[in-house]
Amino acid sequence: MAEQNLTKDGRGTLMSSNNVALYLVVGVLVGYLLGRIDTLIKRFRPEAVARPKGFFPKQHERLFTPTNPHVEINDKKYVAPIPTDTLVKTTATELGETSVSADNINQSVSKLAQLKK
Amino acid sequence: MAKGLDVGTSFVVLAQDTAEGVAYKDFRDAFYVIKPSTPVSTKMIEKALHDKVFVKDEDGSFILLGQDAIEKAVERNDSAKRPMYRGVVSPKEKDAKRILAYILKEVAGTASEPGEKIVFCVPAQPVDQEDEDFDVGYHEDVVKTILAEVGYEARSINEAEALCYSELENDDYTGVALSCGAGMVNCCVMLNGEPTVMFSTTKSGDWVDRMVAVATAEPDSVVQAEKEHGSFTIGQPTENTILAAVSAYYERLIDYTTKRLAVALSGHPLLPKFKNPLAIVIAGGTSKANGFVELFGKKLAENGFPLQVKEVRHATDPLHAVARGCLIAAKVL
Repeated sequence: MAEQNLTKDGRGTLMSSNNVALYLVVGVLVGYLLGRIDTLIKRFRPEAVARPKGFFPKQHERLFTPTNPHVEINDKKYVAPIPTDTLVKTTATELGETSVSADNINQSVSKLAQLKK
Repeated sequence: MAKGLDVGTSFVVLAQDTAEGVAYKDFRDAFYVIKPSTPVSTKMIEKALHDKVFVKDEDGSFILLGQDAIEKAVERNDSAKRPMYRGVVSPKEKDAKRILAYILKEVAGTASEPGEKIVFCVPAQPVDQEDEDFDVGYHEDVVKTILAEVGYEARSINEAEALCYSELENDDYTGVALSCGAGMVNCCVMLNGEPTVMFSTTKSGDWVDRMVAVATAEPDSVVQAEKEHGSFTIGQPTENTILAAVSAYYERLIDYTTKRLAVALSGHPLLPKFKNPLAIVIAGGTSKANGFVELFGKKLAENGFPLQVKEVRHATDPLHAVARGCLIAAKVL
């Protein structure tokens, strides 16, 4: 049959198109199942999803202690010095447009500070 | 003393408390380089730029900054460069860090006392991009280094979290805040002052500019200028070709963003079970387009937003709200 393209000497035997289709279908199914498992894990184990790190620190933030070693290497990209002294300002104009809003934020600050105690 | 600093892709905004109220300093986050070819042209260019904001580099080139950079680029049918890309220091511009450093130092100024607190905003990880160049940690360290050089003790805050602190005071700091900047839309879901879900999407104002630029064969800067100064309402017809394209792409942006929100929040394991309908606050320059907030509210409902909504409202001061939130956070610290 045309689709049974097998070599006679057995070297580099070509797979039949039926086998290729079968492997593709199995591969897609396995991938789908793995994806579903991952989603289910995250749904039922919220700790598997990283909690957002808010601005204000929590009391129980994890610290390194010898009895509770949480060791990670700092692999953040190094920030080289950023020279700006070669940029010569040629105008006395201050950068930026200034505006003042008649807005007293003290109440907002107090309310938020109270909430964060 | 404490200050708030919105380090945005399009604008850098400083907020500080004064006796008269909150003072804001806005500066356009853009630069444009002119390289003179001869000593004579150097003199002519310098004369022509006498009333513009620019610096001279050690190689003799002139670097226009801010709004002047954009206007010069538009004049030359070109696009101004930006030191930030999608909310973080641009990995594509080789002068990005230097120019950003210069702008931030000029806008923030020297600290009024050593170790003065300053809180600056950073974006959240995007849900729709897998770009390895997007490194918020590195961007954070770059900005901290710059601000430390002028005497500040700098800390970062998520952009949408800052917006929550600015706009959700009367909602007991419970609700959803969306900061629609130039590079990204940042989202924070907050419950009683605690951020529970934070993420971003990478399509915002710049995406509109880029798509319109391609559709109309105009430079991005020209499109941006037309968008900011022209009169249009999203969803309503206009005779101006560029603004008609802007309106069309805004509709697509709002549709996309509301769908992304629905997908990101539906079934999220950390999403709280809210007892009452929520306030949704929108800020950022991209949200200033006429009709944006109204269409956003409509599309949220259409696209299956999973939370009950009390109202969708614009921030009191959409361009300064994030900086205001950073200032509040700095004062609470």
